[in-house]
Amino acid sequence: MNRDKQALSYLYDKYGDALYGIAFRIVGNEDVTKEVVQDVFLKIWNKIGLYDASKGRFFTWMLNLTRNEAIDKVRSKEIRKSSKTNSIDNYVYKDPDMNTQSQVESIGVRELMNDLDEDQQFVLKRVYFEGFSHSEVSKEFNIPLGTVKTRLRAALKNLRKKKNI
Amino acid sequence: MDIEKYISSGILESYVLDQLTDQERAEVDMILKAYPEVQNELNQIEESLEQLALNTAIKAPSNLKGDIFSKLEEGDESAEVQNREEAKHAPVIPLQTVNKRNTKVWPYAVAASLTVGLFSSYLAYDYRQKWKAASKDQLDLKTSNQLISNQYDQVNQRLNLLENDLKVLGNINFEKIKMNAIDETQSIAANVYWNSTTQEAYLNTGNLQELPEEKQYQLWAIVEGAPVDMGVFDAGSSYLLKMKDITGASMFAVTIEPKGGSKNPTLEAMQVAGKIS
Repeated sequence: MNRDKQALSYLYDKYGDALYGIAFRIVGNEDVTKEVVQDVFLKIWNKIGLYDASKGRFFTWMLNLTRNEAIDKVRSKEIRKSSKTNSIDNYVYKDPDMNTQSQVESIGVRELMNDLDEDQQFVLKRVYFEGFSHSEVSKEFNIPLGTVKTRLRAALKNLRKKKNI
Repeated sequence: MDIEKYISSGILESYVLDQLTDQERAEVDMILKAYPEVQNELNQIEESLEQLALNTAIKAPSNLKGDIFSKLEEGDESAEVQNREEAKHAPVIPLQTVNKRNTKVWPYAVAASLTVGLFSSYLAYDYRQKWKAASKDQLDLKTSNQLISNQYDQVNQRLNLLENDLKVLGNINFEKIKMNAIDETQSIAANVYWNSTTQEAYLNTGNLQELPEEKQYQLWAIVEGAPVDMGVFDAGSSYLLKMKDITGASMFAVTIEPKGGSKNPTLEAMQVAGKIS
C-alpha cells in the first residue's frame, strides 16, 4: 500500500464511523449509508486537490462532503420512489418529530441533547442530524432564518461548554 | 464592526455547515482574515463539530473499509490503462486537473485534520497588514478632507465679509469720509464709512503702512472739539473693519499709538485725517 493510501486508511480509521453516523442520521438506511460513505471516501481520494486548507479544517471538508452526498442521495431516491411510495419523503421531510424520536435519539444522542432547551434541540436535530438546510427549516417550520442561525449557534455552544466538546 | 454581535448571529456556524451563498461566504472569508478573534471562534466551532461527530459516531459495517479500498484499486487500474493509452498517442505532459489526485496535499491533509492550518494564520496576518495599510490610507483621506473643509470655511468666511462690505458700500445711508495724509509728502489715505443715523462706522485701512510689532493705529472721531476713541487696528486688512459706533462726529483721524491704544491721541503721530463735509 502506498503512502497516499495509508493516509486515506488513517482517515477512515479516525473518521469513518463519525461520517457513517452523520450519513446514517440523514439517510436512515444502512445500505444507502454505506453507499454514501463509500462515495465520500472515493471523493476524498479523487478530489483531495479541491481541499483548500485556508478555508477550514480538513474534517469540516469531509463533514460537508458527507452531508451533501447524503442529502443528494435522499433526494434522488425520493424522486425515484415518489411514484410508488412516500416512505423516504416521509422519513426525512415530513413529520420530523416522529422520525427523529426513533432516528436521532435512539442512537445515543439523547443524552447529549439533554442540556439544550427545546428550541435548540429542534434546530440542532433538523439542521445537523437530519440535513435540513437553514432555509428549509425556516420555511417549513416558520422560524425566521436569523433565529434558526442563532439557535443553532446556541445549541452548539452549549454542547461545547457542557460536554467539553 | 461589532465582533460579538457578528459572532452571535450564528453566521459562522452557517459558514461551517456550508449554508451561505457565495457572496455571503466571500464576506465571511474577508472578515475572517481581518479579525483574528473571528477566525479563532471559527476554529472552535469546527473543532466542536468534529468532536460532536466523533461523539455521535455509529460503528460502520466492518466490510465497508474493504469495499472502499477495493473500489480504489479498480479506479487505479482503469486510470492506468487510460494513462497508457494517452501516452501512446502523444508525448503530452498531463495537466494537473482537479480530479487527479494531488499527492503533495496528502500529508498536509492529515496534518490539517489534526492541527489548525498555519497557512490560514499567515493569510490572516497578511490580510491584517493590508487592512492596516488601508486604515492609514483612510486616515490620510480624512486629513485631506479636513483640510478641504477648513479651506471651504475660510472661503465662506471671506465671502461673508465681502458681502458685508458690499452692504456697507451699497448703502446710501453710509457716508464715505476720505482721510488724507497729514504729511503731504506722503500719499497715504484711508476711508471711514459712517452711518450717522445708526451710528455704525467702518474703516477701510487704505494704504496705511504696516507698523512695528509694538505699535498700532488708532482711529479717533472729533466730537464737539474733543477726540473720542473708535478703536485700534492694524494695516493691511482686505475688508472693512467695524469700528466703535459714534455719534455727532465732525472729523476722523488716525494716529500711531503703542499697541493697545492710548486714552488721548498722540497728535504729533497723526497720520491721516478727514473732515465730514
